Amino acid sequence: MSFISIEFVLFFIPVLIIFLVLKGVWQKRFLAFASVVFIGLISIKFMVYALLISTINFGLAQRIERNRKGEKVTTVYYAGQILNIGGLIIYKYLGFIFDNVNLIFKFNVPDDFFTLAVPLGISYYTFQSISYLYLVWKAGDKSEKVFSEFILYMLFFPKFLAGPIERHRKFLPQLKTNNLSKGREVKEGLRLILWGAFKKVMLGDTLGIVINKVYADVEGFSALPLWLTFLIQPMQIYGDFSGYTDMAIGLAKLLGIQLSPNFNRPFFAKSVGQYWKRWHISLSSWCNDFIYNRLMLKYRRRGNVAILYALFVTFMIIGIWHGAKWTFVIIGFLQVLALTYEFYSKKWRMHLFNRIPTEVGNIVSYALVYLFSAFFHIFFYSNNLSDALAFISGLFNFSQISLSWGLNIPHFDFALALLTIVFVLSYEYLTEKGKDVSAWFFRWPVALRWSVYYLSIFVTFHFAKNALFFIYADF
Amino acid sequence: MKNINKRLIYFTCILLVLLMGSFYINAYYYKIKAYNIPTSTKTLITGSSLVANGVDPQYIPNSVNIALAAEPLCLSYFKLKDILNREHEGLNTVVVSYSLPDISYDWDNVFIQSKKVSGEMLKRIFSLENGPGPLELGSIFPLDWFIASETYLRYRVFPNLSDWSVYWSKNKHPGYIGSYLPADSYFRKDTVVYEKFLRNHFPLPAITYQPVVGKMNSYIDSIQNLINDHQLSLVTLGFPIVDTFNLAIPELYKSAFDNQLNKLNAQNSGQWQHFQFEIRDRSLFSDYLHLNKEGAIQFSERLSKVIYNDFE
Repeated sequence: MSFISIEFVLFFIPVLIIFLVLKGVWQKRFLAFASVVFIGLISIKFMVYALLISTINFGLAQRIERNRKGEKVTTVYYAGQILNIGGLIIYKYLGFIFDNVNLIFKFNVPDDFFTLAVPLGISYYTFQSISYLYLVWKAGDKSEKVFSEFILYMLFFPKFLAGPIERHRKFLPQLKTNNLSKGREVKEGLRLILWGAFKKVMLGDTLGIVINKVYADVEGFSALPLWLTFLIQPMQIYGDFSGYTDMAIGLAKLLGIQLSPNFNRPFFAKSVGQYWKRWHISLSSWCNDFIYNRLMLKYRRRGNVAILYALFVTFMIIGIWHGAKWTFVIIGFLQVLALTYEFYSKKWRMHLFNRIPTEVGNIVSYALVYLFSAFFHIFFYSNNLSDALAFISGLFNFSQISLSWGLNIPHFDFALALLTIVFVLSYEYLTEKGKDVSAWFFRWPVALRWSVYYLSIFVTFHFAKNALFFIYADF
Repeated sequence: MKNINKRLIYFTCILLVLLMGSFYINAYYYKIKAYNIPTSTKTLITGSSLVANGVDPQYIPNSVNIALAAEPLCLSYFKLKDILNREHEGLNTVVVSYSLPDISYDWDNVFIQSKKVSGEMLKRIFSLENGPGPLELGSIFPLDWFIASETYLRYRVFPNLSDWSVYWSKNKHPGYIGSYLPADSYFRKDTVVYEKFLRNHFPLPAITYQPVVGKMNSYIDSIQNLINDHQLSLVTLGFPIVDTFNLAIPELYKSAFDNQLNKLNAQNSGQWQHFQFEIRDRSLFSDYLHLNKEGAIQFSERLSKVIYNDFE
C-alpha cells in the first residue's frame, strides 16, 4: 500500500482520528494494532511472519535479561540470531543460492524452485531485531517488557515498508512518556509529508518512467538516451527513497513519534566515504556499528589490513542487503574499490585540492561523487550483469546516435521533472552552505505560503498518475 | 493545538473551494476540447491498435481514424456515443474492429488490472464530455474502486495540469482520440508479447475458469444499436493476423468467435468484413498481430473498396 494512494489515505485518517481521541497506554496499543492491520492489508502471510519474528525476539530478549549469568544465555542468543538471519536467508537469498548451485552442478531443478515471496519490510525489521538482541545480550541493555511497544519498534507502519532502520535505544524511550505528543509537530509533519510526496512523485515516479523503459530493453537504446538515463538515475532513486522517508517521518510525527533521518544531502558529499554517511544513513550507520566496528575491534592489531577487510565485509553486506543478485554484489565491490582508493590517496588528493580554489575543489568533488553514484546505480537498476555491461558499452557507442529517444514520457512531465531536479539541488546547496531556506520561506505572507502548498498538492496529486511503488520496499 | 485545528479547517475549506472551481474548469475544458468530426468526413474509423496501425485514412476518401492502442469495445462504444451526440452531418459509415482478440474475457478486466492499465482506460473514459462516471461504470464491469476514484479525482476534480498546460491553446483533443500510427516495416519477432497475448486472451480452459467470451463482447451490440439510432452504417472488421499466431489460438475460441459472428450477421446481414486471411505475407506485418506501413496501405485500399462499393 503506497503512501500516495487513496487506500492509504482511507487507512491513515481514521487511525489519526482514533489516535488523537485515545490517551496514555491505549495510544500505543492502538498504534501497534494499526501497524499489524496495515501489514495484514498488504498480506496476511507477511503479517503472520512479522508478528512471529517480533514475538520470538520479544520473548528471547527477556529470557536473556533474566539469565544474564546463566549458562544457556549464549545458546538462547544464538538461537535468536539464527532465527533472524535464517529467516532472511530463506526468504531472500535461498532462491539465489540454489539458482547458482543449479547452474554450476547442473541439477535438474526448475528455475525459481526455491524462490519464495519475500515478505515486505523483512530486511528492515530483521536488522532491527538483530541489533536489539545483540545489545541486550552483549551490552546489557534492558529488554522491552511491553509487548505493544516492542511491536511498534519492530513494525510501526510508517517505517515498515522501507525504513528507516530504527535503534531501540532511540525509539523505545519515546514510548515511555504518558501521552505521545499531540499536535506539537503537526505542522512540521504535514510539511514533510507534502515535501516527500512531491519529491517521490516528481523525481522518483516521473523519472522512473524513463529508467524503467530503458532498463527493460537496454540494447534498444542509443548513446544519448543512455547518457541521459545515466545522469538522472541517482536523482530518481534519491527522489523515490528520500521522498518516501520524508513522508514516513512526517506521518510518524503526526502520531507523536520521531523517526531517524535517512538522508543528509548526499549529492554534496565530497567523497564516497562522506556519501555513505549521508545516504541511507540508518543502514550505513547500522552496518558501521554492528559490522565494521566489530571487525575493526577484533582485528585491530592487523592495521590497514583490518580496515580493508572490515570495509570489504561491510560493503559486501550492504550490497547484498539490497537483494540476491550478482549486480548488488558488484555494487558492494565498487564501494570497496572507491573507499580503498580514497584511503590510500588521501594525502595526494589533499595536496592537489590545496592548490585549487576551495569552491572549485568542492564542485569537482561533488561532480565526481555524483558520477560514481550514477555509475554504480547502473548495477542497481540492471536486471542482470549482461544488461549492466550492455548499458556501459552503449554509453560509448556513438555510432548509433538516433534522434528517436523512445523514452515514453510526455515532454511536459519530463521538463517538470528536470526542473524539480534543479529546484531540489538548489535548495540543498543553499542549505549545505548554511542558508536557512525554510526560515526564509516561513517569513512569506500566509497567502503566498498557502498558495505554494496548494500548488504542491495539485502538482503532486496530478503527477501521482506516474506512481510506482517505493523501490526500496522491494528490499 | 486549537490554533492548528483552526488553520487546518481554513486550509481545508479553501482547498475544497479551489477543487470546486477546478471541477468546473475541467468540465469546461472537456467540453471545448471534445472531438467534433471534421465536416467533410464520411467514414469514421475506431478500434484498438489493430486499427491504429492497420488503417491509413489517406487511402480511404473522406475518412478519419481515431483508434487507440488497447481500446476495448466498451471504450469504442462510450467514445462513439459521446462523439455522435454532437454534430455529424455528412457521416455515413462507422468502422469498428471486431476480431478474434476482441471477444476475449481478458478485456473485461481492463479496469481492475495494474494501476497503469486501468488508470489509462479510466482516464480515457473520464475525459469524455458526457462519459459515464465511476458508479455507472462499476455497475457494468468489475472496477478497482480505489483506482477509479483516484483517476476520477485526478482528471475531473483536481486541476488537470498537464492537459491544461499543453493542450488548452492547441487544436488537440483529450486522450481518448487516437490516430493512424504507421508501424515499423521490419517484423518484430517479439515472443514475449506473443506469448503474453496468447496466454491472457486465449488461455486453455484446462488451466482457467474464465469464460471464452467476455462481457465486453456485448458492446458490439450496443455499438450496432447506437449506429442504428443515428441511421448510419456500421462496418465491423476482422483483421488479418499472422498464420502462426492464428494456428496457436485454441479452436475453442475460433468456434466461439464464429458463433458470435453468426449472431451478428443474423441481426444485420453482411456487415462483418472478413479480412483475417486476406493478407498473409509476413513482410506486411510489424509483429504477429499488427500490420506495418505497407500492410496498412494494402489493407486500407481493400477496405476503401468495400466501404465505397457496398455501403455508398
